[in-house]
Amino acid sequence: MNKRGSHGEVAHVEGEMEVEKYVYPPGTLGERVAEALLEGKLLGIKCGNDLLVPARPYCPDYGRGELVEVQGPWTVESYTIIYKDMRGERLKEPQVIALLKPEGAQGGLIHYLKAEKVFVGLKARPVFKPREERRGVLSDILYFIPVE
Amino acid sequence: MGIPGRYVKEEELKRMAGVIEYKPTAKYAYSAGQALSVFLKGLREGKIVGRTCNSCRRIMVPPREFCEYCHSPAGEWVELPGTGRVETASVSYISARRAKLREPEVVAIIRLDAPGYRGDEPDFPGIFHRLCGVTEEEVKGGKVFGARVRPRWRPEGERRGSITDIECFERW
Repeated sequence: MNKRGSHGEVAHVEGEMEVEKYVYPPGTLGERVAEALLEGKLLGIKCGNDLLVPARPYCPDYGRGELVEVQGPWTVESYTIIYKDMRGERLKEPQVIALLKPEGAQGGLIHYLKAEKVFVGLKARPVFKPREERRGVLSDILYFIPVE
Repeated sequence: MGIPGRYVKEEELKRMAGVIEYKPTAKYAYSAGQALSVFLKGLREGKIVGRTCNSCRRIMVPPREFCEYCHSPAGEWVELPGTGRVETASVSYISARRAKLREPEVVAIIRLDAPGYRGDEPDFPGIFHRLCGVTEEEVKGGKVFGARVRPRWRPEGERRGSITDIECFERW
C-alpha cells in the first residue's frame, strides 16, 4: 500500500533476495540435545540451583553446568492464536502458539498447543512424533497437550 | 586442552541428528522514500527529475531530501532533458544473477546534461544504465567514451515507475 509523503505518493519496490540453502549442524552441545530429542527427551542445563531451558553450552556465570532431562509438567505462561503461516498463507484452522515453562525452570519453549480450553497456567506435556520420524529437532515435538 | 568440537564430513552431516537444512525466502518491500518516489513517478511520465542543493547548488540525480555534502535541505526540483554523455562504460557477460548472457550487455555511467554544468565537473548528476547499439569492441577500444546519448523510453503504457522505464541509452 502506498502512503502519502511530503511530495505526494511514496513508492515502494518489491523484490526477493537470492538466498542459498544452508545446512546448520547442531554443534557439540546441540548434538546431545538432538540425540535426547530422538529419545523423546527434552534437555535443560542445571546451573547451581537453576534449571535453564532450552539447554545452552554455558551457564550465565560461565560455569559448565550439567545437562539434565526436563521432567515437566510444563505451564502455559502466555499464548497467542495464529491464522496465517510464516509466509502469510491462511491456515486451514487457527493454531495456538504458547510459551511453555517447565516446573522450576528459567526460560521455556515456544510451541504449538492443542487444548479444548487454553488459559495461562494450564499444565501441559509434549507429544512427540513416532520414533522413526524424529530428526533431533524441535519439530520432533508435534505439539503440547494438557496433562490429564 | 583442545578446542571443543570436531570435524564433520559431509556424509556424516546427512545422518547427524539435529541438523537443520533450510532455504530462506527473503522477500522485501523497499520504501523508496520521499525524494526517490518523485523520481520514480517522473520516470513513469518520461521525465528525469533532479533536485538542487540550496547551499552548493549542485543538482542531484536521483533527487534526495538533503545534500549529503552540505547537510542542508534540498531545494527546487529540476527536470533534466535526459540527454548526456557516456562518462565510462563496461561490457558485462553475466546477468545480475550470474547467468551467462547470450549477448553481452554494455553498461555505462551517463553524465546528464544539466543547467549550470559545463560537463567536466568531478561531481555531476548521472545515471547508471544500459547502452544499446554499442558493440563490445567500441567499449574495449574506448570509442564509446564521451558519446552523446539520450534515453530510449518504453512506451507510456508499459512504464511502471522504475528505472527500467528507460530501456537503455542510445547514441544520437
